[in-house]
Amino acid sequence: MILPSNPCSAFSTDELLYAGLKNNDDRAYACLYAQTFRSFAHYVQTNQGTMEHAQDAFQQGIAEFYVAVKSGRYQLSPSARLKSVLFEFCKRKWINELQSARHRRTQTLEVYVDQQEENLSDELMTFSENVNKVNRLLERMGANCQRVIDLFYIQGKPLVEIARLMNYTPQTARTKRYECTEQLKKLFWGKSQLNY
Amino acid sequence: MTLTEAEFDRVEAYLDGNLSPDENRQMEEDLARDSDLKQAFEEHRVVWEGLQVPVAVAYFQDMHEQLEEQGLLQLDAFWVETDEPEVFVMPEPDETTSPIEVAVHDEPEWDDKPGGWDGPTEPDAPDAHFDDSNP
Repeated sequence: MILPSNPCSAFSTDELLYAGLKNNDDRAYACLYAQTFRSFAHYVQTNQGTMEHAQDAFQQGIAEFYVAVKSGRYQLSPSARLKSVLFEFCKRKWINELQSARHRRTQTLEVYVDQQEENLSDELMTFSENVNKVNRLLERMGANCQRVIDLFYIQGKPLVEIARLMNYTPQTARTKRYECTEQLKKLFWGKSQLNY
Repeated sequence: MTLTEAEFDRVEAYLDGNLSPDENRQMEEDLARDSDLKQAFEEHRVVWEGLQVPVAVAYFQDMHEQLEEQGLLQLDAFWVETDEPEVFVMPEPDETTSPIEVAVHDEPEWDDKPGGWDGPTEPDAPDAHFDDSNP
């Protein structure tokens, strides 16, 4: 990935930036990242987190935002700046994480969340919950299914390579990819018990 | 409805953006016409999206390293030059100075100043910008 010295130079408006995001332009994401990360890191560091927490939480948040843009779930709104939407989304995820940690320690955490901000990222939060559920369920699947799905979707290996790595024929690798993904879908939608 | 293996491949190619324009149009027509296919597609899309995120996390980890190496995550990374002088209103004027001072800056102005943090810039109104129907 080669980035220019100022990745925002080509994106003077949110419309241009969103077009860049839709086209998977590295510069567009670098611009959005650089514009938003500093604000978020400051927020986390003043709300019980470290720079390392901020980096991890932001990378998870912007990755989910990236997929939502790519799949068409998130579409540009004329009344919401992209960096504000991303910031609020990451902020709510961080607050949830703090609340979850406090809950585990049976303490209470008082955090003010503006209703306007809450509405802004409700859909992204639902999206984020689904992402977490998919990846939690994947960890509960059998070892072979986990490996096939990891190799195909996450590492991006071609089926021929997966067949070689797992000692399958190419057709078996294709069928396993199909069956394992269908099994994961059934688990997600509550239609099946684990049997792989 | 469970996707057949052929439908599965077609849906994945559509989500990955790997269909030709004609195939893409046909897919969208089929989704609009066939409610069972549409439901199966939506069920598939949620899982497909979940599996894309770990890949994207790795992409942004690399991006962070590069932005940091290039110094683009520093507070002074993005700036714009202003032509207009800034006007500062002094909080406690005394008898020897004007309550208003005009400062012409030789230094560039940051376009994204820290301070009063609760968000990066102006709060934006929520609205229905989230579409769960279009891939």
